[in-house]
Amino acid sequence: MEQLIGFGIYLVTVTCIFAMLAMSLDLQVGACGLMNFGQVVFMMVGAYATAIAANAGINPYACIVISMAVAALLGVVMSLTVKNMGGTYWGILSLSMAELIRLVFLNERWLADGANGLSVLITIPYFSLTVVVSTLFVILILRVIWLSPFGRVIRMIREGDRLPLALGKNVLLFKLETMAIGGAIGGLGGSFYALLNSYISPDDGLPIETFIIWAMVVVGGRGNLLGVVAGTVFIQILFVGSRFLTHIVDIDAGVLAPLRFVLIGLLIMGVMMFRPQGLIPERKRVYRI
Amino acid sequence: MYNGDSAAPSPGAPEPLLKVRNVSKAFGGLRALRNVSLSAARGKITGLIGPNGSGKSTLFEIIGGFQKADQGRIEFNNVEIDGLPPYKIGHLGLLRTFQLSEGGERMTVLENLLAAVSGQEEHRLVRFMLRFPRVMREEAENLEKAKDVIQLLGLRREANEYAGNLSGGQRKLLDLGRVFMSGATLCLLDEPTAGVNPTLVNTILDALKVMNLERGISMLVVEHNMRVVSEICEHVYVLDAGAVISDGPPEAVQNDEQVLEIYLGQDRTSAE
Amino acid sequence: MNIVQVLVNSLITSAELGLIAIGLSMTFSILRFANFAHVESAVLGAYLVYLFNVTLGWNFALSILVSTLILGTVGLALHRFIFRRFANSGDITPMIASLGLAITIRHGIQAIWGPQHVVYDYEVLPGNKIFGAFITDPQIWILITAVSAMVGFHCLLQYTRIGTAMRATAANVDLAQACSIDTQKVILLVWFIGTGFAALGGILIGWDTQVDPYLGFNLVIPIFCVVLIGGVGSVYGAIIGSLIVGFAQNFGLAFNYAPLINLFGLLDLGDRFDLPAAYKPAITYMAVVLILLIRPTGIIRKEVS
Ligand SMILES: Nc1ncnc2c1ncn2[C@@H]1O[C@H](COP(=O)(O)OP(=O)(O)O)[C@@H](O)[C@H]1O
Ligand SMILES: [Mg+2]
Repeated sequence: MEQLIGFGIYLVTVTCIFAMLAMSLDLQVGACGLMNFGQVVFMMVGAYATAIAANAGINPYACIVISMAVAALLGVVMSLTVKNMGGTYWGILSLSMAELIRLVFLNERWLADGANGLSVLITIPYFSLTVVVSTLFVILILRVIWLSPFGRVIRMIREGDRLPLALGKNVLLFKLETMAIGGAIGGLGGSFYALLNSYISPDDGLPIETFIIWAMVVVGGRGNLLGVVAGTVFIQILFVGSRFLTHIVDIDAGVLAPLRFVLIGLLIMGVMMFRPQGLIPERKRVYRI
Repeated sequence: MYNGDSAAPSPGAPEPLLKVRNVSKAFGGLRALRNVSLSAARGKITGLIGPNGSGKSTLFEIIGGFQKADQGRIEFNNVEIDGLPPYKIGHLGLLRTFQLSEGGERMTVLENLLAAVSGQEEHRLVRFMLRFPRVMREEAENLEKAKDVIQLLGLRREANEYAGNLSGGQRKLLDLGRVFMSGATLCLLDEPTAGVNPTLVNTILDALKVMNLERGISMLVVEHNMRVVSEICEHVYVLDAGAVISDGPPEAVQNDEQVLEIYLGQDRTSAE
Repeated sequence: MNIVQVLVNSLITSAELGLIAIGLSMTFSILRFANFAHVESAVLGAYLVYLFNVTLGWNFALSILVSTLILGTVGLALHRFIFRRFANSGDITPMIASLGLAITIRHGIQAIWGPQHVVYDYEVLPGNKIFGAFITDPQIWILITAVSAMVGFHCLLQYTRIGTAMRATAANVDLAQACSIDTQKVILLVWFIGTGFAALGGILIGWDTQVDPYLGFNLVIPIFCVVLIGGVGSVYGAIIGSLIVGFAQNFGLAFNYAPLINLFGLLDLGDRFDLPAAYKPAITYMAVVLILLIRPTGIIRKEVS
């Protein structure tokens, strides 16, 4: 029984972490139209920052803040490459950048012990509770951003640069701020990820992770926080649920693991084909006249 | 024979709001603009006519900072604006619209209007967080203003409709609405009545008059409909093949031989 | 390393990349979305050859032919059942759908054939020594196959009506449509040839080295790099782009950077500094980042009339 509760708490924590990563991606993609195919890099860099800082003996809470700052900075750097590039092109660029960064972590032993990864030997009290509360806080912040004048402008940018530019909006600055916030939230998720698993390696930053986060966002519904969270829960259930499938049907674990991803791929495809706006689509903001 | 910009400031006359001097632009071998000079008077509506492909939209692109001129200078409100990025030009109070209304498709009409408010520093996130109450107060004020604009434009039924779902004419109206909200002092309108049904044309005309007479917004308008041009413009420039071939009050320009020739040669109805 | 060896390796890499990139470049231009699943067709083609050649014991050449034709047909099916419906939904929706398809194919392959690499069944002979470089018989065959495929395609483009229509459509769909070219027919042919060629490229990679389910991911950025260098929609650009990427990948590793770095006085690394082999993929990643930052429309942009 105790084991089951422990597992339940673990599940909730993991789901919250991925919800943060998904909401961060949704801010970029769903609100601002920035097709970030390197989202996982925020998580990876955030996790590494926590690991390195923790190994240097820094206070755990400070580690979390450092992770957010480093990832936000990375977001700023990434935003500098957006310029006026179309979504597709920047998608390819961000994917390449994320892979470059992962390659550095993989090959530079002095930086973070290369492929071996780093252990994270610190914890914080009430860890899972902290994660849940942080997630709720992120939801609140993102909701406020969405409704704010800032959110309105980035939604205008989503449809193209030219109109907001004509209206006097410094589009690049808005994109920069969006990426910084997205990065900070992703870094927070990454920091928690390192604390939860007590370990981080370059394998945690594989592109497939990015596409899982993408699946959460597009299946749930771009531009709708509830949708994104629902999408995260849904994909998590799919992953965890299928793990128990080996107990029920006679299926080899080596076959089941890839089949889960096949399912994710089919889901993404199916949603794009039949319900491109996602299961819980973006809602129109209606004012009383 | 055309001999230069007759609206160029003579001593004693008020400085024009916008001055375009010797602007040229080539796309590869195609000379889209050749040495174009023109000016838009403060508080007036200036027309810009010319057949398709004569370079009108290209001129707007260049004035708005969306494309770089090969040569020439542009001054707005006594500030040199050529070479500035578009958002800085927009911020100075020069707002251009697009020939094919674009942007803001997945925002409602009201949201589009609210987003057009400029000078609202709180659009930036950090300041928004720091000065939350003030921003919310301004939001409420802007919302009231936006509702008035919607009333004026007759878009009340569409207020909460996505801009992408509006008809072409309604989107042109929305373009004007953004000008109202933005607080611009000069707007460049690219064919505000093109492809708009006759009833809406009148609405647009009325809105233009309100904008100019009541709000004092100056305008440079590209327009094919000569009725509209004669009704609202004080001064008209005629562009052909990238060069200004004539300018003057609408009646004079309309009777100019050269102008008649290019218009009659091309499209009789639009010259009427 | 022997310079001739590097040269030959570069040519082989280029041939493989070029075959795969042609289809992507054309669909990117005509259908206006980046098909991330395109490279997975290459991997699938390579695995089908493994199925025919090793599992079923067919003749190797026959396996290649059948696999290429099957993948061409798969391309048609993908268009018919998946991508055709996105004609009016912008570039983002089909791109995300293609990501889903890529994940499906990649892990589907892994579920069927497992995560380990596979090799084809042919006799391994010692290489021929040419100018001090070892070149194996398969490598010669690979070059011959790739070059004849490209020459054949070139003839199709230059000397047939449908080829002219294809070039026109790839260069500018709207213009082609306005010139009353049957773009639907062209699109089908592009899917067939593009996907078939991708499969052939994947097969050649498998023949040259080995195939594993992750091959597709390792290819996706290099292939986009080729397309971006050549200019989206340009077939010949893709071929030139593949030569550039192929040579950059192989010469990038063989190059001694020490004089260059010492020249700028950045660091003192002694007289030899090679790029570590683990950074081989980084060459194309860096290239993609730089190309997009400098000239997103492609480096060699040659309009075809
Ligand atoms: N970005 C561009 N690249 C190449 N040619 C262009 C571009 N923009 C406009 N042109 C050409 O410049 C000329 C002027 O176009 P435009 O300014 O749109 O004319 P108008 O608005 O008066 O109809 C046309 O011949 C058009 O084809
Ligand atoms: Mg025009």
